[in-house]
Amino acid sequence: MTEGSLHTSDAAARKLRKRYAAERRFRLYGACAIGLAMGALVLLLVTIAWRGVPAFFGHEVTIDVDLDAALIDPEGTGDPEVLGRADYSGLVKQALRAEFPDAQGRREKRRLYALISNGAAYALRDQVLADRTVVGTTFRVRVPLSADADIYFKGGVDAASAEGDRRLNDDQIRWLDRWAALGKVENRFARRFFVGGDSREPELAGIYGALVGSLWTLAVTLLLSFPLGVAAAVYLEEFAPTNRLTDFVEVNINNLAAVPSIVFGLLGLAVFLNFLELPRSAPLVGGMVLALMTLPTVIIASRSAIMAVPPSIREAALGVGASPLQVVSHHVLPLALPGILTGTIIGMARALGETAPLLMIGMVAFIVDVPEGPTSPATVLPVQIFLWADSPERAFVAKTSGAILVLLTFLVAMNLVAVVLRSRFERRW
Amino acid sequence: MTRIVDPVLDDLRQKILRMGSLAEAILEKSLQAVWKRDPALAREVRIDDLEIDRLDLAVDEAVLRALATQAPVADDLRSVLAIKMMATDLERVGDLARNIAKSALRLAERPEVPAPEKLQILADESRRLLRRALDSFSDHDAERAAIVLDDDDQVDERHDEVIRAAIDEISDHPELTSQEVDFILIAKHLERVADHATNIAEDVIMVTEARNVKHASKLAEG
Amino acid sequence: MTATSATQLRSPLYLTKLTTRDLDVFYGDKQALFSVNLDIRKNQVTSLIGPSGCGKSTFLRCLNRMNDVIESCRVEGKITLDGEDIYREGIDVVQLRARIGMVFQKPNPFPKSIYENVAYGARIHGLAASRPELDEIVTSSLQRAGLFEEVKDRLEEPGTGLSGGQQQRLCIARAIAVQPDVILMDEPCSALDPIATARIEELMEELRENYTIVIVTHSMQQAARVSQRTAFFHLGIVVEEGETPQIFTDPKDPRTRDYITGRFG
Repeated sequence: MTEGSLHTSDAAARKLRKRYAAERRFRLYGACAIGLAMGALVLLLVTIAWRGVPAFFGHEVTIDVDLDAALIDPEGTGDPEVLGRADYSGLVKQALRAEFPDAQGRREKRRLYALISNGAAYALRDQVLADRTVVGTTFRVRVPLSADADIYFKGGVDAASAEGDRRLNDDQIRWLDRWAALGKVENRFARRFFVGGDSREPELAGIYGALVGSLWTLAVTLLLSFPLGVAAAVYLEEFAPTNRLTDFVEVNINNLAAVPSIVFGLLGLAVFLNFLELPRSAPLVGGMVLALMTLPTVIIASRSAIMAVPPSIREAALGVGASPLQVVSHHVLPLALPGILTGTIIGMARALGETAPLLMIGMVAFIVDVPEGPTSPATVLPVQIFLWADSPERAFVAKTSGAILVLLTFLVAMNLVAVVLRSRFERRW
Repeated sequence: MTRIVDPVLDDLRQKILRMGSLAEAILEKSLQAVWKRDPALAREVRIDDLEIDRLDLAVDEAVLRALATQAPVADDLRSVLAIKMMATDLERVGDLARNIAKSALRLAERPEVPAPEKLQILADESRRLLRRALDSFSDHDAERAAIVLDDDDQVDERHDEVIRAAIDEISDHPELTSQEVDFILIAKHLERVADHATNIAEDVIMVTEARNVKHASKLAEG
Repeated sequence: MTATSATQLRSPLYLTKLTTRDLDVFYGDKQALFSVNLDIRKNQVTSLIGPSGCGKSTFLRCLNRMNDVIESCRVEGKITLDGEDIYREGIDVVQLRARIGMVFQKPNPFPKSIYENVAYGARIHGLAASRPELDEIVTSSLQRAGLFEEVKDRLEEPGTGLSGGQQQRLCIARAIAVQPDVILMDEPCSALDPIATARIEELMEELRENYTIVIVTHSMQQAARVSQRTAFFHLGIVVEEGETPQIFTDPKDPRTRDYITGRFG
């Protein structure tokens, strides 16, 4: 290289090679980091799914119940109240005894009854109430197995282990195997999980109550935080004079966004429950607390969306004689709306996953009924997960994972909506 | 600070100054040819005039280029315009010098008649006017340019005197008519040279003071 | 007789549309304009030239009170539109801006359809009683802005999809649709290519018949081409104001000459 320029010399070529090598290394690091994160995420999801999906299914057994009219409705009134009061539990037990006459002593009988869920009697009653003509016949009904029996069929009990170490003894396993051999046991999609409220019995516990509680809470949160947040953002961005007070408000909004959520819970306890004496455990109060927590997020997201609207649009509108309010309502807000909605949805998603502040205002109570309105006692999905995770029964492990799956589905759906909204309405100026 | 337009303007100015000194030189040469009855000198004038023509073309092109690329305004614009007009005037001075040289050739072929003293004075005055106009341009001196305008009247008077004297001479010595007619022609050319000098002085005033003084006296008289 | 007086003799009779008297403008403590006295003539194009930061845009924005938006901005002195003080207590700024339209440096159509862009001003000022009337306003405004033929088949398409020059003409159409008396233009061609620029300049010449135009421009050539009068701003004062040809052939003030010939250092 005789007449070569400074940039074609050997030394320069060496430096260039080093630079390219450094670049390749850097890319490799990045790819590794992403791979690691993705791996962890996939592992998490797979674990939860693997543990949670069985919760969506439950084993049921078909039994023949002799619906003796003399026991159910001795006077033949057909009155639903009379029909509802009958001892269906006894009928189910009778059917079980008939099926397995070898169960003799009280303990053995109790073990036999323990194979069937407590919910079996209710399932039977509901079916009788739905169709009164079955009274007096031998009725073939499908009832849920108890959680322990369900776990046995799901492979959770090792029959070879010592009898004392398992929840089912040899007799119980024998009876279950017999049912299975007769083809009476079926693994079915557990609708109960999605439409039922909480229960002490794992096989009966559902997330519907918590889901509805979450929806009521979110509705209250949205109704409070969206209008308040957007109004505050519009005022701060478009109308507020720049002075100390505005600065102070701004700084505090930013600080509020960083306050731990449990603090909002304490505030809700002190102000909403103790001072304003609003109902405990209610979505109304939960929503209010979460609205307080979400408000800074909504305000900050809205402000940056409003700020991102180019000033030239405002000038253009002012230039043709639009009033400041018209500038905001005709031009700024429509253009900022996708950003505002995205921020709000992300705030809502955070509120949906929040547990700590709700614990403080009593939404952690065990509530069986599906809430009917914002003031009925309720719990929410993440709190339900927390409750189940805390339960000693082994069957709740699957329930916990199942509920997490449902919660995750909602969160992903909400984030998807945010992404779609953003790409849908994103404008080029 | 040097502007992009400055070298362009400088180049134009240099070309005009070259044209000016060439015009002065061949006017001088053509007059010498008359006074000295030198046909060789007279023939040189024709060759020299070609150089002025070439410079005139060069100025035309440079002016066009300056207008197209620099879009000059204010005094720059006035300078470019003035230079274009001055080039035309100087080119005309060159042509007039050639005409004087033609008379010199004719005079040299005929019996010698001494050039009238008044004609020599007229020649000096015209040359002085041209020199002064060119100096006022190179020095951006509007005052000196104004003197040129005043002195033009004097040249016109001298021109009239030369013509009258020549006509008298013709009536006294009809055999010298041909020579006297050439003297009249030379006087006429010198008077035109002075007019072109006046034009140049007017251009200088336009450049330096942004006043257009052309035809001012005529228009004022109405 | 001088060059200036010759052009003055040919200048037509004129009316004064806008005047400013002793106009001082402050941004906080910083004074941006010092005692500006300027008359803007009706049906003429007046160009404001001067180096960046000389106050010409500030001046322009005082004329339709766009400076009101800037909190720290304080305006003193008097600006009159047809003899009426526009900074008078109780003047309606919204109405004022309908009378004095504005076109900005960067084309800034609303991210709405071409039709909506033009119709917007007319709609908020209630200039059209019915949809056909609004259609008429939109059509005639686009026609006067020389854009109608190019967009008549796609009025419902977004205005932001047009080329830069078309967008700027759309903005002019938007300003015209409000039926203003005066159009202010803040460097309207600085983002456009020469062809689009030429188109806008032709348009200004046509619009002059019905409107009074004030334009801020950094292009000397543009000021020279389009305007009848030119004002040269420097350091917040009007150094020189006069007939455009006079400013560009024989500026009276050495600062004007230095600026337009590029001697400013």
